[in-house]
Amino acid sequence: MIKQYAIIFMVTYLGEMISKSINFPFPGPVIGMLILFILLERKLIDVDFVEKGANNILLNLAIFFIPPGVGLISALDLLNGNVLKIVVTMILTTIITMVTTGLTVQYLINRRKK
Amino acid sequence: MIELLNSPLFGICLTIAAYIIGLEIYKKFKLPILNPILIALIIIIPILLYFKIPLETYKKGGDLISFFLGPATVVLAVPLYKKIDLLKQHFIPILGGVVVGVLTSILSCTLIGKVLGMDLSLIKSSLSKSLTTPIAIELSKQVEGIIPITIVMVMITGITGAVLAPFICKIFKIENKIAKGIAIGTASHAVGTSRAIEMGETEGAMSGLAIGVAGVLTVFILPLLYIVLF
Repeated sequence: MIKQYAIIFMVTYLGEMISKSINFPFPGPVIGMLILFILLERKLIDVDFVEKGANNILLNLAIFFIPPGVGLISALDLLNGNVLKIVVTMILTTIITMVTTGLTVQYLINRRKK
Repeated sequence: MIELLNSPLFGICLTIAAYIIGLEIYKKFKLPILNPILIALIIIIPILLYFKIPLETYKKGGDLISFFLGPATVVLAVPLYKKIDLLKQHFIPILGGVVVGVLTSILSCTLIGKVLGMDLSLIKSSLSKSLTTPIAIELSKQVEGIIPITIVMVMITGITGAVLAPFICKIFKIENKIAKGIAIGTASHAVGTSRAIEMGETEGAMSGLAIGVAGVLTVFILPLLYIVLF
């Protein structure tokens, strides 16, 4: 299991270093994700080599967001009077995004069938 | 009193305890609105405020937990890799749909936010709200969003997607299972996907795939669009 985490942390670190050395705002962890994806897809590493460690982390993924979420304490004044606006915007944009995405996929599939 | 709390273990214990309570409540009622993160925040924030515990004291432990966000984002490659066959089978419809979805999400957040007179920092925080939380946090940093606000927005988005998905698909005649899954995953990430899984196997798999594809594509699209919009 320690080897699994070694790979995961090394790829994360590599992503971080690449992110800092390029002149475009790509987040390090996402670069790391792309690196790991390419390594798996090109069969440079076997999925068994990281899967257990990955699943362990993903199983309780949500807990990692709690501390940054608690930071809301320092942004409470910004929420003041904006809660309704935020909720309305989130609901509307979610509906709009779901509809345009769904209809686009459906259109592209149907067009292909013809 | 504060000295007793001045150990990373305080933040760690509080976070884990609140998370377990959140998880148990969610498991018991299975309602999307009882999101475990939301419950944990509702437990922790009042405790810190009531006992006047500084955020910095909590963060000593909290930062150790959130450190794992980086590796947690990296390992999202594994579920994405496992669905690569699905992606290859329906490459054009999936990619086309997700690109349209990502653009729609960013543009509609900007537009509706501006129409409602939302603060610019709030609009910036909302740009990545359709994505899975670890990627949304990273991208929110890049566009100068306020990360805790982004997290709350991601949660509201997920809950909305999970609650409304079946009705939205029905009203707008999205009948194809692939289209349903991609739409749900693109618009409302993992929380929406939990509902897509209930709707069917294809819907669930497609929704799970869309989370990863939307995350990766937004990393390329958002910075470019951001320059144009702001």
